[in-house]
Amino acid sequence: MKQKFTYLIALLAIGFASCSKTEETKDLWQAVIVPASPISESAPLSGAIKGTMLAGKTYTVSGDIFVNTGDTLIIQPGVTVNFTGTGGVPVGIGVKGTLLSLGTKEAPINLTYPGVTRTDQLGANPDTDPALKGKWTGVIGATTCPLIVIKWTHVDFGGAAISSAMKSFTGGSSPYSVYFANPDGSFILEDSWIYGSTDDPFRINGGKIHIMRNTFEKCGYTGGEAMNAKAGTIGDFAYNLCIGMATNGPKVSNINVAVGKPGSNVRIYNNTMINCGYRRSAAGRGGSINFEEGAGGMAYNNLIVNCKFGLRVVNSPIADTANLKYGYNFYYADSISVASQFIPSLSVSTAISKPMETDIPKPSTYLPSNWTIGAVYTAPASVVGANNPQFINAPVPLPAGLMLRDIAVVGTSNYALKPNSPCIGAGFIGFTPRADVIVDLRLGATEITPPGKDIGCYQSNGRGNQH
Amino acid sequence: MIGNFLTQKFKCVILPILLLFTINSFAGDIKGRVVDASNGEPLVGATISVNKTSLLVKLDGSYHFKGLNAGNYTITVSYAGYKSETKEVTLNSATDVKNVDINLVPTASSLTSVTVSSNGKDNDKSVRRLEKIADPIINVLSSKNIQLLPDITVANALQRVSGVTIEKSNSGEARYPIIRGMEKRYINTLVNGIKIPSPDNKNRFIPLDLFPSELLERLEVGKSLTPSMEGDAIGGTINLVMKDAPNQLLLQANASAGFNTSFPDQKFSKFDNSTMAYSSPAQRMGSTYVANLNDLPVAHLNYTELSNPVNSTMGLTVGNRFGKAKQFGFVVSGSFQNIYRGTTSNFFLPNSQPGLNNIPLFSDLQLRKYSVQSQRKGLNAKFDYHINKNNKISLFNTYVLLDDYTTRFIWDTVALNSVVDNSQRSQWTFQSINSTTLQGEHKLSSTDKIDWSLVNSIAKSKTPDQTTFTHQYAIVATSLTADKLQSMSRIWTSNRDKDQSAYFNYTKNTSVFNRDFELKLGGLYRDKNRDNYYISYGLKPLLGSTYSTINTAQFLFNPLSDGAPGLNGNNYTFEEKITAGYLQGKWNLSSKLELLGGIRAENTNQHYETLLTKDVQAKSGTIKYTDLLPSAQFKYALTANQNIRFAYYRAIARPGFSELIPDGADGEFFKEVGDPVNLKHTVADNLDLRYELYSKGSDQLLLGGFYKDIQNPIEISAVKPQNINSLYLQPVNIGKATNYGFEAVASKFIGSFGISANYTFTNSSITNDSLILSYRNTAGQIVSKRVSETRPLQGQSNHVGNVSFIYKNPKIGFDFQTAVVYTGERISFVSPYAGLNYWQSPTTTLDISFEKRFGKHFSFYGKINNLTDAPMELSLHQSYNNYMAGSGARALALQTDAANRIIIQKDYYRTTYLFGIRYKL
Repeated sequence: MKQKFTYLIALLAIGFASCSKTEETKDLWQAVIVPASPISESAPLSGAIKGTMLAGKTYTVSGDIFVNTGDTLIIQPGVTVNFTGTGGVPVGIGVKGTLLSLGTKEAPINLTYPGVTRTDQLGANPDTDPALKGKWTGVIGATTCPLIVIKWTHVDFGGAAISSAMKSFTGGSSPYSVYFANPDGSFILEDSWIYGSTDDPFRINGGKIHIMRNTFEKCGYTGGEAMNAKAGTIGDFAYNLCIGMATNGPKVSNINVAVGKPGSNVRIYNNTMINCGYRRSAAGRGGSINFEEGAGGMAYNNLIVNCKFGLRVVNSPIADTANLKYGYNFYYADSISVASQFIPSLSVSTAISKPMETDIPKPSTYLPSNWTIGAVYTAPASVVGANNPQFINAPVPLPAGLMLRDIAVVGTSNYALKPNSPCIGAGFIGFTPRADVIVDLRLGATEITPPGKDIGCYQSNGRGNQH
Repeated sequence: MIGNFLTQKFKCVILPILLLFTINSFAGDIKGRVVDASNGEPLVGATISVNKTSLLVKLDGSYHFKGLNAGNYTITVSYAGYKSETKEVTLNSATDVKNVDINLVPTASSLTSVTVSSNGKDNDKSVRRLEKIADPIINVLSSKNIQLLPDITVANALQRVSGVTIEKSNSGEARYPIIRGMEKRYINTLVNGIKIPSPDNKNRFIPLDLFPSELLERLEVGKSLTPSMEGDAIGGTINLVMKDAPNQLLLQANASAGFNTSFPDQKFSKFDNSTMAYSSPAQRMGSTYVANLNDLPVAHLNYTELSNPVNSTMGLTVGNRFGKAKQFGFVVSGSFQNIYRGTTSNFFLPNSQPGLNNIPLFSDLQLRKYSVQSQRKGLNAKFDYHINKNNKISLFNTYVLLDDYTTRFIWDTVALNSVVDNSQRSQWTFQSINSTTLQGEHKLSSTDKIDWSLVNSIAKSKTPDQTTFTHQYAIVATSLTADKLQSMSRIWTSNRDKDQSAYFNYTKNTSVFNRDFELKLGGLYRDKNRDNYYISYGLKPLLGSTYSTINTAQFLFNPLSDGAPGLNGNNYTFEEKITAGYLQGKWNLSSKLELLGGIRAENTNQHYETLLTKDVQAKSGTIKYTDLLPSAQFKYALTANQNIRFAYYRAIARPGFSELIPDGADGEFFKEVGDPVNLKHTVADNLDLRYELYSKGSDQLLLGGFYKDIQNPIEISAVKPQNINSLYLQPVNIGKATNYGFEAVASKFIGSFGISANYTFTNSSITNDSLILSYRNTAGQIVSKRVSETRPLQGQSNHVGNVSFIYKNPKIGFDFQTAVVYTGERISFVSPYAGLNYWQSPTTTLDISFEKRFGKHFSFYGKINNLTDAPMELSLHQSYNNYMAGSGARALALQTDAANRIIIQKDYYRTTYLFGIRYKL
């Protein structure tokens, strides 16, 4: 009887436990929405465009295409859009209205330039790499653009010279694969891949953002952040894998905020950043996560491997330190010089990042006893190679013969964690996403994934990055 | 005789010197003044002889013979341009003192109006006369005055004129005038009364450092407009009156050499421009040509260091008149100047957005060193033909060319990144203006007269292959840092302004109610065609390449362009047709009161085309407007030498060409853009009141007040476009502004000493209610709002003053002048953020010049500029202490008033010395 009772208790416990752990799986019929104004793939596209690009079809763009104010362009799953251009003049898509690029895991969308192949070997020469040349312009949102949703979409080889018409969208000639600038609008980038760019693959000058579960590979030639957010950008940047960025993973600044709009504030959590910052020609910047000039937010549970600098809180122009929280970030370095920048210094990179004892490794284990915020230090050799994050298959530690800047693509690697990884269960979940966008299968986020217990973008519970 | 060179020079009147005396055993005095019979002005330097003694008349017109015996004397006075005069005087005793004033009658016919005058004399006295009789309110500098000034360019000379301040280029060269607080865009520039086009790549205003001052007969600054004058001169008109054909042989030459004291402390960095291709690869090979690295050599980024470059100037003027009735006249003057300047500038670049509570932040700390070699060439030629006494035709041509070779080094400490960017730039710019005018004057009858001018002008500017590259090193070197090569840019720009115009005036002298009435009507048509060319090539370093010298630097084409040229909206054509007509009357209501009034209509028809694509708003456009510009002027002669003037006129200012183009250049700090959609031309109503006293000689007292009501003033403001991550520099109309002030000019000469002073008080006011202020809201977020701020107009100083001390001793042929210019604080740059305009600190500059005659034909002269090495200083009206208390502040050097100001720029130009020899036939 006593044994039975024990079994019962155990069963109940298991039941409760599994109830609280397991989410319901539902496979429900999705209402069929009849595509409005189907777009024919038979002729090359150029000029104003609206309607629906039909599932599985391949479209060719010969001149800049524009979604005008009030119009919507829907791209269905499995569509390939080749931004071929004409006579070598690069083209892109300018969005004054709404763009919905709705790929699925099974049928992702490709926005690309035809005829170039990825250079996925480690150590490829960046000077000749087509990924860094900018073959087509990109997705350029105007200040009137209320909504861009990009889900399960490959955005490859973007960042070419911007046409004079679209220059008026960005106010400059700098090229971005994806650009958005409307502090009242929403920008959703989910489960997508951005491969290659000449500058920032994603530049945002104000907006409500939801950037989750994406993979950024080899972006920026001599400079470029996975996300360069400025001017009143609010939202979440989570579960992204950033590998081989020229400068940083995410960077947040509040420069040029529109009058009356709240300052930039982004929660950056559960991202994995691998070997970022090594193509940046400027000496003191770049590496992993940056908070600059009036920007606030959070940075927790990020896994930062062999990046040029650790989390950088910039002193001049100073970040909004009153509204900035961080900790539980995990660092790994294969050299003393990298480990000596886990906490960037004032003199080398104008940083005043605070040492957080919740970080791994604990700063108290490697900082000199008389160290003060902003001071330069030399990390002890004991930190080098310590705390291997135990990726399933990745060039960590750095294989002999490779340089730090040579790791710029995922390729055959797998940055998910082995069960014995020190990152598992080391995360902090005592905060929530900002969740500034709506949850909607088409017009919003599919899922605003809350903070995960495992540090980095891959979670042992299967949530997080799905790539 | 020492004084005889004057008479020889002009060969105008040669008088027999008559001498009569009786024997007497006592000594007495003869003294008095020698003046112009027509206006009472003293004739300084006139030769006066008594007995065998000759004297030269002093500055105030006086002379004094002492120690004469009793007896009869004959006094003889001669002066170029005047009929000689003799007087008999008897001294009754040895203590007898006789006062004898002598009036000389000019031989030249008197001047009727400023713009058509052809016989204006080049001395101080006659310009005073011009100021007195001119229809509009003017101030004039004579060529004698200019010659003695410490200045060698028209721009520098202008600061000696009442109410004029000077804006300098970044190498310290005075370039643009500001008249009574109205900046250069409100001023038009005329040569011989004819408007000339500008070689400036953006604007209408003329860089006045283009003109060597020695080409001038006189320099007129007009401060009011009559209907017969072009209406785009709210602030005033600058008229460069070039040398005129003389009555007899004229030969003058001068040469000088000198140096600037910034050398050798700062070496002059000279580059060889032979590898700068005159035309861009796209111009040479076709617009679709993809350039390769061989097209872009870097040899001109190598610099030769000169320790003591020598400045030199040369000038030559030849003129004569010949023919049976001396009906043909010509004058040709040429000038060459080769000047080296070195400037050191410290500049702290304010971040494009200030911190919390608008406390400024600084993103870059820059040390800049400029080496500028300016070669100025000028040629002025004038030919006239008096067909008969009623008809005259003249042809004049003015050509100026300025080559500037500028080397700029910047050491830019970037606060954000803890690095130093060292940028090196070689720039060669040449600008020229060539203006040809054919002019006719015809007397139809004793009362009717017409004059006409046909003008063909072309102004050009070209900057071929402006080359800039940067390398970057860490402030604190670590194992992760190196001296890394950065980007390189190659830019070709050029612009050309072709201007053809025709002027016509008809004048009828009649009477209305038995009072003299001059009726004048006429008009002008101008057809202007301007084009701008801009092309750029961007190169990036081979990834990770380190820098040792530019010759081994490895560049790649910017991946965006791959050698294809970057064309943009800076490529445009701009056509402007101005049609104007006027009707004016001048009526002598009484012998003392003169009324001049009328109306002018100006129609502006502009059309521009850019290379922007058709989906860009305002890529091309046509803009038309017509302005009616009434004007009325009263001149009341209180006495023979006192006037009271009152003037009302309406004037306009047209926006610059680039200001109406919806794109623009990437400036030194900010992207520049025009605004054809919103920008309107400026219209202003102007009131002027002036009291004039012309006492003996060059002495004068002018007191005036002015008031301007300005609709749609245009200012260049940093504008923060919504969501664009940088500031734009854009012309904006900020509603309405007023500008009023007071002006005083006084000159007094006592014997050989003179003092000339002028002072202008100006007060302008403009309110901008859309300035940004950032603050932390109750929720703890940093947000911003718009606030209002009232301030003076850009460029306006409250106090501007000028004092010159002059010593002239005609007897020993020595002239000396020291000139002090004070310019009060003024706004140099308008910020979109509250409380963050850049103010230029007050400056006091001291210049000295002298000339000593030796022999009959030669003189030695010297010009010393900026003796006190007055710096150009910019500051923000914010407490430096407050700034330092803020988080993230970094200490800035240069601070001298930490409680009240943050000094953000300080430039030193050092002292320039120039010594030379002048020859006059």
